[in-house]
Amino acid sequence: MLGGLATRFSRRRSAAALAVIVASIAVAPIPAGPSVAAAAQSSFAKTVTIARTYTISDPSECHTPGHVTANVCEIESRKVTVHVDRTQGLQDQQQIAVTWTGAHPTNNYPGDPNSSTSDLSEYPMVLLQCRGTTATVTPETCWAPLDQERVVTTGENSGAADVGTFPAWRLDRYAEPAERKQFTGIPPNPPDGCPTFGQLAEHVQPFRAADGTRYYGSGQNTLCGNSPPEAGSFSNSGSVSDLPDNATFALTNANGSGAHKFSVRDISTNASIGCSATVACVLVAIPVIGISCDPNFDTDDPGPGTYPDGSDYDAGRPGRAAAACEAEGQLPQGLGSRTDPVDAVSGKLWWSASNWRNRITVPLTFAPVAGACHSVNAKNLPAFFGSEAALQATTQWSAKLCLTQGATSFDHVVAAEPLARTLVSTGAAKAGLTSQPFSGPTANPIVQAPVAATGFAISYIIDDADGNPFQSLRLTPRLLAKLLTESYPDTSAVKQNYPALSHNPLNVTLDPEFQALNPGIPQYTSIYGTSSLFSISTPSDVIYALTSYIGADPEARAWLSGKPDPWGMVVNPNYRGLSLPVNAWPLSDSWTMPDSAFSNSTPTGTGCEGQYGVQPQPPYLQLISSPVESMLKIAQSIEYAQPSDGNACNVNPNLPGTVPGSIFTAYTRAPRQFTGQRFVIGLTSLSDAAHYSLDTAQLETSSTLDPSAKFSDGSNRSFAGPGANGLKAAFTHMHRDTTTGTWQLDYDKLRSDAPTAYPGAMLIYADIPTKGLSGSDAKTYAALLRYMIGPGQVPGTAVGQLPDGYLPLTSGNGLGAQATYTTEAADDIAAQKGLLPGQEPPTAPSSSPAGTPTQPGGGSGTPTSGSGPGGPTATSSGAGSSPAPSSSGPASSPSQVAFSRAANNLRTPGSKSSAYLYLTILLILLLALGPLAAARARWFAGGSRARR
Amino acid sequence: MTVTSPGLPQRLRTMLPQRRVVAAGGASTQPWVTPSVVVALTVSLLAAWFALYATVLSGLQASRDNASLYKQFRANLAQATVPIGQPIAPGTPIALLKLPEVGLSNEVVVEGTSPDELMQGVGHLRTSPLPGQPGMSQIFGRSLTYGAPFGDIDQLKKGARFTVTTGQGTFHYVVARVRHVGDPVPPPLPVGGSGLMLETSIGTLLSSLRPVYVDATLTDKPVPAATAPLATVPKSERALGTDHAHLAQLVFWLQGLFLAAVLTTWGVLRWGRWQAWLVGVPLVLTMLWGATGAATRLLPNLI
Repeated sequence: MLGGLATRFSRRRSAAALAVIVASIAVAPIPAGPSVAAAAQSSFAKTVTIARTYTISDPSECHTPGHVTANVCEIESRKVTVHVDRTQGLQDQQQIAVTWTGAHPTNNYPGDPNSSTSDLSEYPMVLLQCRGTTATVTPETCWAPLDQERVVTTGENSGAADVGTFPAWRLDRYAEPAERKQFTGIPPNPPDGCPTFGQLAEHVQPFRAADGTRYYGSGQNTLCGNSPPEAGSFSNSGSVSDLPDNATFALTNANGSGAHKFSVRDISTNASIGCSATVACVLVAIPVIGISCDPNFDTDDPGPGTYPDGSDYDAGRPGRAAAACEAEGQLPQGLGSRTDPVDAVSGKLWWSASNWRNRITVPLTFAPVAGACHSVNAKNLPAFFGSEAALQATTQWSAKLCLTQGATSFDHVVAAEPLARTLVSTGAAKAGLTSQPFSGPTANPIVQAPVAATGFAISYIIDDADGNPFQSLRLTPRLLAKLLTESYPDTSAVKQNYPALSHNPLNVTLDPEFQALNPGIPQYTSIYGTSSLFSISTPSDVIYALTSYIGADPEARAWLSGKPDPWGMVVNPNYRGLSLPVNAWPLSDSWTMPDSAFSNSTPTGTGCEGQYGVQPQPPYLQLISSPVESMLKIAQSIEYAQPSDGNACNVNPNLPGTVPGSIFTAYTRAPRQFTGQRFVIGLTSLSDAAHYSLDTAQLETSSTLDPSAKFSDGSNRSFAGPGANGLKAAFTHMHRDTTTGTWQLDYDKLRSDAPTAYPGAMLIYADIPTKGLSGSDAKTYAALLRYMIGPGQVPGTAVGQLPDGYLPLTSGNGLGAQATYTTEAADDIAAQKGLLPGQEPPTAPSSSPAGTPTQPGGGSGTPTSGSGPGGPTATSSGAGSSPAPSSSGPASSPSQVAFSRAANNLRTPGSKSSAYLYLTILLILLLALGPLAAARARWFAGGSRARR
Repeated sequence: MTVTSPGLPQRLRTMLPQRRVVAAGGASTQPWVTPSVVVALTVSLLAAWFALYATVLSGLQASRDNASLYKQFRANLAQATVPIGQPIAPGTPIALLKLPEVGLSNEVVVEGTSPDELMQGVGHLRTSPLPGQPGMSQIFGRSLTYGAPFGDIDQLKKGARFTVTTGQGTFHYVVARVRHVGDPVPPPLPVGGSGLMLETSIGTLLSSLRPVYVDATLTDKPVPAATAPLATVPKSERALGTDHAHLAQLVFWLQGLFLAAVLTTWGVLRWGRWQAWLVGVPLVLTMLWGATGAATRLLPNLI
């Protein structure tokens, strides 16, 4: 019997062990950390060996002795490795980091790899987005729409350039005969002008769109047909939506390496290429090494209609054509702006078989386009109003719910968080997404349940002195205050004419504080984007969080109150004494550029300032700040390196309707910056920064330096970046404020206890009432909340998963209390009894059925302090009494006991007037004066009479 | 030290040289009546008159105004010409308030809350919607002078009922709370909800003046509003607002008073005692009434 017991026991133990093993395997795939791991798994790397050769008939013809095999001479051979950091689950305009080694260094690089002249570089690394799979992709489905990227022509030349009708691509030894014809790619029924008149050879590489249409145009050259609608003409801004083009001819450095962040486009911004979750696309990387030639293809047929008797025959042409095909690059390595590269090694011939066969094809998969799912009852979808910082997450969640059978999806209406709170507190909106507590009592009790842990980031795109991206920006609150308060003059004209700013450095790159913390950034004096933080103009909880961080720092506070920094820079007087935090950043400077600063302004002068410029002048420093209304625009502007400055000048001579000979000038936004000289820095949400792969700055958390002491490096200060560790540390140190029911970040405590905590961390709450919703609404919102806190917190790049930039709400990340609170809140929302998590239902005897309305005398479910009407000047949405039109209701309603937690700190205002008091005292005195005087006089008179 | 005949208005003694013939046998009847005593007594009398006017006589004036406004309002209501949306000229009667608990049975509500309008009764704040329309409507009233229509509203109890009749119908309200300065602010109205706030001032003799509010909820359904209320009103129409624009009126009334006194005295001296009295007293009283009226108009509108 004991033996039997023992057997059973051991069986049970082994069963338990097996269960534990199975459970851990089941649980393990759920990643506990951030989704960086997910991105790393979708990276791609490949190495190819490329060679440039030409056919010879005699070994002596080979210019590179020792590289002859049979009748082929090799000019050069290289081993190129291309690495891409993420290739799966991509969304529109996301950036994938492409790096390569071993390629041929690039000559004549124009600075902007996406511009219309970038294909005129020699030996570029060509990166194109194409439709198809690795096996089926052809140049016909690759997106390269600008200038000479699809149509190359050869005209009559003289001297060494006279190659007759045989440019390099016609001598390509790997090309099919059909691709080597004198006029290749001409459309059937060509329009007049196609082939181009007077050209001796032409190659058109048509583009086949997703719908089957073939386009025979190339940028500005539309002689053979149109360009696709998303292509630009000759301006580099391109596309119907004004997005920069993404066909890239990138720079390879002298050591053969290079890097580029490639912006992928899906069907939402480029329908002609049509990449989507269901249409396969690839990234094609072509390390251009030059055409491999076969001079024997040169049959020297004369041009049409010329010398049938061969009288213009030039025996030297074949030799010159062969030499031109075998030529190596002549232009200087690196930057250049020449328009006459050696064609055989230029980017123009990326489609030619020699280059095309050297391609590296990277398969890409796209995520389903957000919004592609159309719910049947689209107009009845429950809506959440507010937080733009939650948009990346809610896009995923709503898309997943839409695709799930039986689940109700939701709409996220992006709105300013203070407005969202007002809408929810009055009942105009049923749910909101905000990051701050309510500032006054609400009509119904509202629970603020945390659903996302994210924050704001100061994102940037900055090139260092070598032209490479700078990636370790560090900022202090005082620097952020300087950038926000329009305290940098930006131009010498401002510095000379604005006395208060005349001793301030021109821009942040010339500020010794910035230089001390960020060595390696060049000092600019003439580019845009260096004097202000690209920010938003609308009220937002993100601005509240940023200004809380700035206002909690003693150094920044002292500077804002007027104390100069150690080098003498002072705050713009219009911002002096600004009390922080604020919900919306004010634009307070109204200084305009005086005409006297530009005394040589002439009617045909090319300036926006001065007497003949823009009149009347707008406030100049506000042009430089130029905030926008959404952080998404800021993130995309940083991706494409376009600063916010609006003081660039657009000069248009002889516009119709203007005086002939006059110049029309207008202020306009600054153009995109050149690669190698970029400086744009802006406020974005953490999720947008992660989505577009932007670099984010480290923010100072503590400093032990004397605020008035000069410094030359970052020692004695600690900085924290928005990585997973920084966010975790910040959320662990959040404390719960029991009067408002929210978690707050105490910056002073962070400074002393947690120097590694990222101070830009923010929690996003779902604000949903726990009383007053209809039964079906309550069930729907409770279900949505359960999804958000459950499956919606699993990190990943698939639909419905938590995107990068959010920290999952788990106890491993220090957010267990928040997750529990939200789970309980979902139950309270479903019950709709007016309770919050942790509250007990009232125990008074008279059970009030759901219909009995509400509380007298003020307290409602949640919060508290702040501004509210209630005084004499309240407007229609102002202070009120109990909400529902209640029929009298039981006078002794017990429902008032339930809200003890809601401390209402708002008090009825009222000024006390002293007029009445003084008047009354005066009146009494005056009333008494007469009888007193009379009595006194009578007494004296009576006394004197008695004495008489 | 000269003596004038008893019964002359006291203020004359301060203004005229004393060259009246001494009445026979009247020498030294009142030797204590020195000029300074006369001045003091005059001032006291004026103060007493002011107090009387403020508490009693202005109430008479206000109830007369209310009666005529009531007639006008009743006629407009019958013809359906009572304004129900902005712009409404200040001083137009727009509603009728019946609050039996404080003794208001037919109090006409005029549009506007400056001291002038609140002299006629209670007034409706122009930046708030009209009673019965969605939003929080506000009605101001005086608590001390001009009939003190809102003198007792801080004694209202929760649950007290009253009605307001406007051009859009009769609305029944129930008092939710009486709110003093420093009390918690109540929750906001829900979207589309309607409420009414009565406001006046309270203050005892030795403590300073402050506003007091009575919040009431509408028990009927709100009616739609065709127009929005004004965005802003001048300072004189806000709570405890004063209007010093009529300071000139006070000066004119005082000048009139001075003239009346001079004329009466001249009449007594030159014309005949009882004739001058008969003519002069009503004249002087009228000027006095006007002057004190102008003086009280300079007080805050909620007193």
